[in-house]
Amino acid sequence: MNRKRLKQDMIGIAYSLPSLILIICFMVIPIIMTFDMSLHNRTLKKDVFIGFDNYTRLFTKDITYQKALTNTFLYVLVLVPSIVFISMYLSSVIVRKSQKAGAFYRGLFYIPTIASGVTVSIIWSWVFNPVTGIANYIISVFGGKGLEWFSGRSTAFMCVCIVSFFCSIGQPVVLYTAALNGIDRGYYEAAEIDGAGPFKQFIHITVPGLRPTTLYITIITAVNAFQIFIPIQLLTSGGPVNSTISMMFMLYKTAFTDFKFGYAAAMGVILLILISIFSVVQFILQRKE
Amino acid sequence: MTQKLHLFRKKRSGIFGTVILVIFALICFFPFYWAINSSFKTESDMFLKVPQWIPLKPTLQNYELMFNKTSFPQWGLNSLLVSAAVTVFVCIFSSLTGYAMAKIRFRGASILFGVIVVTMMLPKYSMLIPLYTILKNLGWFNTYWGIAIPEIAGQLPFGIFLIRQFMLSVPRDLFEAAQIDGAGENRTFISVAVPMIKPAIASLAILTFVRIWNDYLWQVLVSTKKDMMTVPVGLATLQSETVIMYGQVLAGCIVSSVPLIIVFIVFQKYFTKGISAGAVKG
Repeated sequence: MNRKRLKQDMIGIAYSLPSLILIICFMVIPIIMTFDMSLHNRTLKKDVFIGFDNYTRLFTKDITYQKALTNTFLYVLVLVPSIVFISMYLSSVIVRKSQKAGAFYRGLFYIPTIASGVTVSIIWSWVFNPVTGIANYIISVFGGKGLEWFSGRSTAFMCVCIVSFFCSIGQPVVLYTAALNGIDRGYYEAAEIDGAGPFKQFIHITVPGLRPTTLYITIITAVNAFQIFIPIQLLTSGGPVNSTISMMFMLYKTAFTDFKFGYAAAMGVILLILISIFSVVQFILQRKE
Repeated sequence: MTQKLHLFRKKRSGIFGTVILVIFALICFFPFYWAINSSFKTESDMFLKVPQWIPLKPTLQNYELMFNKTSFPQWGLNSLLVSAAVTVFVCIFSSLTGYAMAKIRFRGASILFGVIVVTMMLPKYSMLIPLYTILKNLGWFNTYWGIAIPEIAGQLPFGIFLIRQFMLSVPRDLFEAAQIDGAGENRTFISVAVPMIKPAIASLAILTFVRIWNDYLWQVLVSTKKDMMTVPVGLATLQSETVIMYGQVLAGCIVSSVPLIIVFIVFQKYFTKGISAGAVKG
């Protein structure tokens, strides 16, 4: 019996070994190293232990980082509610369409997710081109004055949000339409008989019925919004005057343009802690459901 | 019953909702339409004051330039090799480990599960800096394995989790029956487990391929030489040049994303399955 147990252990470990080695070498060890690096003043040439100096500098002296921090929270505050509510509403309309039309709309909203952040950012930058872009042409047709898009502070922030919004709604729409099909139609029929209009039905049946899905979508959207990077890198490079800079973008610049690895690692640790808090909250809330 | 459901659906489909849906769908798709449209125009027609909604003199000039004047074909080959290799290895390793975790009672399985859940939840980019220094020290920059191996590791936690979920739903009797018939663990895995979860492996393969094909942040760090760049890295480099050749860049965007969009339309049900399975709580 004992020998059989041992044999099972051996087989189980043998089956897991390739994955285990890769995960340890390229995920677990780097995570531990990030913490260690954040306590060093490490560049290409030197590597000196400095304790928590990187952190104190980030929070007390570095104005750019504080800008990146507030911007990132702004991105989260703008993107998460708009993605959650709009994708929920759109899905509630989609499930009332015929099967074919429903599949069509779901597929359409998923296209930007398939086409990658780089492609979507590039094609939007062509639409928003201040000189020859079609966006400004459309505005001028309606008698408006063209916007400067990427070169204005608030418009640049708006552009990054728009591109990120359309890159992100694919998954929520797929999840919401699946969840909506699971809500008992009887509730709606009963509400209809009681004379509740579509809006009342949405608030009183759809929204509560989708609670677990909404929780999951809120978390993944927030986690992604905290790491917003590609649209900023391709559209604005953080400018004008750092108005679109995010934590992840600044980490990238600090580490791979300025090669201040230690300082950037401290930024990575802060990002990791923020996101972990979100994941833990999700875990606790899901257990409650 | 279906008839009734259909009538019911129709009745509730309000005009207001449909208008909002169509507006969002149009804004979502318009940039793609406009990119496709522009990519078939001549250089001078792209910058007209009053734009042409369809190219009046359609031309393949931008596509020819993209293929002949830039390294785009090489980038495409690199992306294809890396994405295919990562997909194959992620599927094999995830199936093995997912099977072991769900069906073989071995000591340490619960610790392994903990490691997988934690690494799955942690932001991938927080470990970017040490990975960069490790790869630099190994001299793996601008090599295929340098791009691919960390990507495999990065996709494994999700893959193992997904396969484990599906394996758990396969009745244990099936495996026990095979073993009573004298099949060893390897035989049970290959002839019983893998065929049972083929749809899950298909979902995992498609999701992994698309993610790697589209990943940018890791690939831009390791592929710095022009010949070793992947498609997203190459396109982003063209986009960051002082004079952007928009016609060529847009043509590149179209060529790189249209095949994936077609794959998505054909295999939509596998995508949906994979996306929703990832959402199931462990």
